[in-house]
Amino acid sequence: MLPPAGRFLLRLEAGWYRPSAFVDSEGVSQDFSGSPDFVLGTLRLSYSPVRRLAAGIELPYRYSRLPVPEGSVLTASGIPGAGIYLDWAPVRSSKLDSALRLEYFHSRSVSDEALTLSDGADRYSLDASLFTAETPQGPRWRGGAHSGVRYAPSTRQTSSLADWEIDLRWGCAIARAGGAEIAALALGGYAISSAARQEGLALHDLKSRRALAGFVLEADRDRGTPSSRGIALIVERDLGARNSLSGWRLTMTWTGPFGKSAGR
Amino acid sequence: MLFCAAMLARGAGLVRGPVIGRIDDSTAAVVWWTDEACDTRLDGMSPGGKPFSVRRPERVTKHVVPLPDLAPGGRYRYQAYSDDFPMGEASTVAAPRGAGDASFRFGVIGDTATGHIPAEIADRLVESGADFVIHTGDVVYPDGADELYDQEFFRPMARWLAGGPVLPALGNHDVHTDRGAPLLSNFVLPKNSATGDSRFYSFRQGNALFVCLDVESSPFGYGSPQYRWLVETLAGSDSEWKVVYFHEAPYSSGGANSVIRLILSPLFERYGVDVAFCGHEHLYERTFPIRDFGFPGPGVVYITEGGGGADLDSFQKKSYSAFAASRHGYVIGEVAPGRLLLTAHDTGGSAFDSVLLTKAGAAPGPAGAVRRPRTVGRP
Repeated sequence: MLPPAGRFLLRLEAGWYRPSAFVDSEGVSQDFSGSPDFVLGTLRLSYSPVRRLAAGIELPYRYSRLPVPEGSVLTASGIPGAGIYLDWAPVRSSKLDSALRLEYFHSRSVSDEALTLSDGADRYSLDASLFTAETPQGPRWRGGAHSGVRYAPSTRQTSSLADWEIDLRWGCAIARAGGAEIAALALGGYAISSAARQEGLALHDLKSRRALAGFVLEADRDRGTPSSRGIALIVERDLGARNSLSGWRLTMTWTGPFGKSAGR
Repeated sequence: MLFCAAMLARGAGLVRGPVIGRIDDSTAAVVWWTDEACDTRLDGMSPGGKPFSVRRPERVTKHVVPLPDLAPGGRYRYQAYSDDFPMGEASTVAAPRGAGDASFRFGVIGDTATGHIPAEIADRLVESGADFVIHTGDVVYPDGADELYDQEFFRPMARWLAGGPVLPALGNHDVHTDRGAPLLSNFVLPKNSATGDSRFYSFRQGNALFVCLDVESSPFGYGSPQYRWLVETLAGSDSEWKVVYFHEAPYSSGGANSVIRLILSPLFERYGVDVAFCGHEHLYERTFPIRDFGFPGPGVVYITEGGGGADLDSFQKKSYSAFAASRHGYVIGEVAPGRLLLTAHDTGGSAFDSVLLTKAGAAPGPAGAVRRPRTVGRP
């Protein structure tokens, strides 16, 4: 989502991932002694100097907690890195909206700690999204598709990394409450990566893959207007994981524009 | 030539062996394979000159002769026969050592691959006087195929295998074929795991416990049969030295497996493991003693020995690494009361790293007791 021209867009994300196991390449589930908790908060702030184009920064903060067999609990917290990105909306009509994001993310150096905040791989990514427009003329249903590729060149400390993901959403508005429109969407996706680097950990240098399914609840105020703002609750479950963590993820987002409007 | 022709005419061709297996703490085995089913006979002589003979009329192609009543530590001469024809040359086998025999040597190899290197290592192992060799996995590349075991492993290692056992862990390449079934059928190993096969197992030699884990094809996570078996095995052992070995290293400058580190390393520390041998990375590395994911201090020393012949890997030395070298070679462990000396050798036999672990008092402690080793020497 791009901010209206001349305005800022703030997006706050809080994700809580609780994998019960690591599923190895052979499909063998290796259970942790207790459920680890990986919490990731992300601030994204973008500004649109001209219509259909925006530049932004990404600043994540991670808190990780892992119960250790026969021992105590490991915790780690801090900033795993920072990113800068460009957003472009090549297609924008009354029914369809789109966004392309090109991002560079600089990772914090990898450490020898058991529970790391960062896998140390600086990466480039390109994400493409196509979704129903937030206009009165848009379709009655809501949905969209997102696909992204990431590439991290090898360094002296880390081998190269490439991954690809796709997810699809489909649903519709189900209610209105407090001036907000509430919608429910089904969510499904798939991700494949050249290595299992998840939640800052470098778990394994073998091909990793997983599918996911879940649902999204969205609540928007002033939908389709320059002052549109909304919150979303996303619940996901990993399916068919291989060389990957497997568990539940809960994410909440808040998105809203601010700053002086120059018109859309 | 006439001899070979006669053997072939009778269908008693020797396909592989004889090699030495290890069935349990006190039982060795002589094993050979023939290309057609035939009977089994093993003639031998004790260190004191007393002859013995084992005969089995069953006609089989895999001949396994357990030797259960050997005097601990003695070296026995043997000659294998099938249908009265000698199978290979006469050789000797070292009997497993009893709990009272606290001094012995063992070898460590890993990631063996075809070529001259495993053969050179086999020669050095014979010269070392080791009783047995543990293998950290990836015995046969690229996929652990049964048809490549002779070319890749048994022929290059033949000189060692005729006199001493190799006890391997399953590597990631080994399990590509039928979850490692070829490896399990080609080695005679202890079957004292929770699952009744040899994917993971333990054995005792002298005053040391050796535990082989399967981190490639079996669950090792919390609550899994292997996890529970490992806890019981380590907690129930009164051995002075506890050694574990498996394929992928939880601490390695070449590439560490964080899942193993997070799940198994705390167990090793809790139950007094002294040394963990791993492979996977094609190099040699020794860590400082690690405890609670940190160092220095008393803890577990992790040694990666993956230089058995496969192409060497590069590495970026980690802070926990005491010594690392991208070199082919092997490790010799010398166990004695209160001390364990581990020395890394190149394929020519020259030592390039060593560490001496010591413990106060030579007598075994009570079951489950944890007596921390002290690292007293580093080059």
